[in-house]
Amino acid sequence: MGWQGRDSRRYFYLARRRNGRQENVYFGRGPLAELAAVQVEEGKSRRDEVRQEIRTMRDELRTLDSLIATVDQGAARLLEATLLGQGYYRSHRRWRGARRVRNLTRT
Amino acid sequence: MSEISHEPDEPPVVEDLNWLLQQARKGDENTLPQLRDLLDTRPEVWQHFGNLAGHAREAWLRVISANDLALRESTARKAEDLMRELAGPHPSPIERLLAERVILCWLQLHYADFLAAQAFTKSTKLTDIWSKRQASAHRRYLTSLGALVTLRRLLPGQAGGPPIDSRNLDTSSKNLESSVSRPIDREHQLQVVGEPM
Repeated sequence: MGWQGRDSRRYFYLARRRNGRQENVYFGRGPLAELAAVQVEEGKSRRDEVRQEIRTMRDELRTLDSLIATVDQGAARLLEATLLGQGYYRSHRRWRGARRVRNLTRT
Repeated sequence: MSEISHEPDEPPVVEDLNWLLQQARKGDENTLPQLRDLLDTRPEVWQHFGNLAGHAREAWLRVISANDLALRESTARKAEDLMRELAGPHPSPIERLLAERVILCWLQLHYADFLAAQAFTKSTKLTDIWSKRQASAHRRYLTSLGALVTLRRLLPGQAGGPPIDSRNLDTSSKNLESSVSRPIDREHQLQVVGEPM
């Protein structure tokens, strides 16, 4: 709600949610109203700062994350290729075939 | 951060590798000699991913240290030490790449640790976001270590790195990648000071 004009005067209302219900608390136009308004403004700017910080960090780390993901996938593929090439195989995300590889190495 | 460029396009050898892998996954045993041949005779495949890993490491070091050159140098040295320790004196190409991947994940994890600790004093929303990031970096780190363990256990002849003490591994589990306990080495934990950005 914030400041509301009534008969060329300004009164401060604080909109808040209590027990799941929206309510507007009347603060009038005295020093208490000024204080409440300042606090509300501070809270807003703090939330904006945090939002901005999150956005900046995410943008900055996006390229790095994608680089790591590429290396990650590449390394996983090369490991898989190396093990498959040696005679191992994958079953239910586990590497199997140690006996087969031993036999292949012997022959 | 504008210094960080996007990764280069994949060379044709990576496409060949992907195709051979697809065939091998389908159970086509005829592709296995070709797969071995590709890994043995075409070093550009290792170079491509090795370069990418080096590029990523540099980029992470820049982000972690921001403008603090001393921190950048000390972190780079720690990463290099850890790399030597993990890869051993005569690493095979796959071992070197997997160790490089562990280093990258280590850098990412400790940066996430630092941000999560810093966010704790700021707001709950930031704390949530960085905690999630920390958890995902931790999972990635463990996976990267698991891959190195898998290689050393399955192909001990190809691994030039230090032997893995099997007593420290859960031998009751057949799933090698999940058998590693959290291996954070306190000595190598990154200490980030000052503002990161």
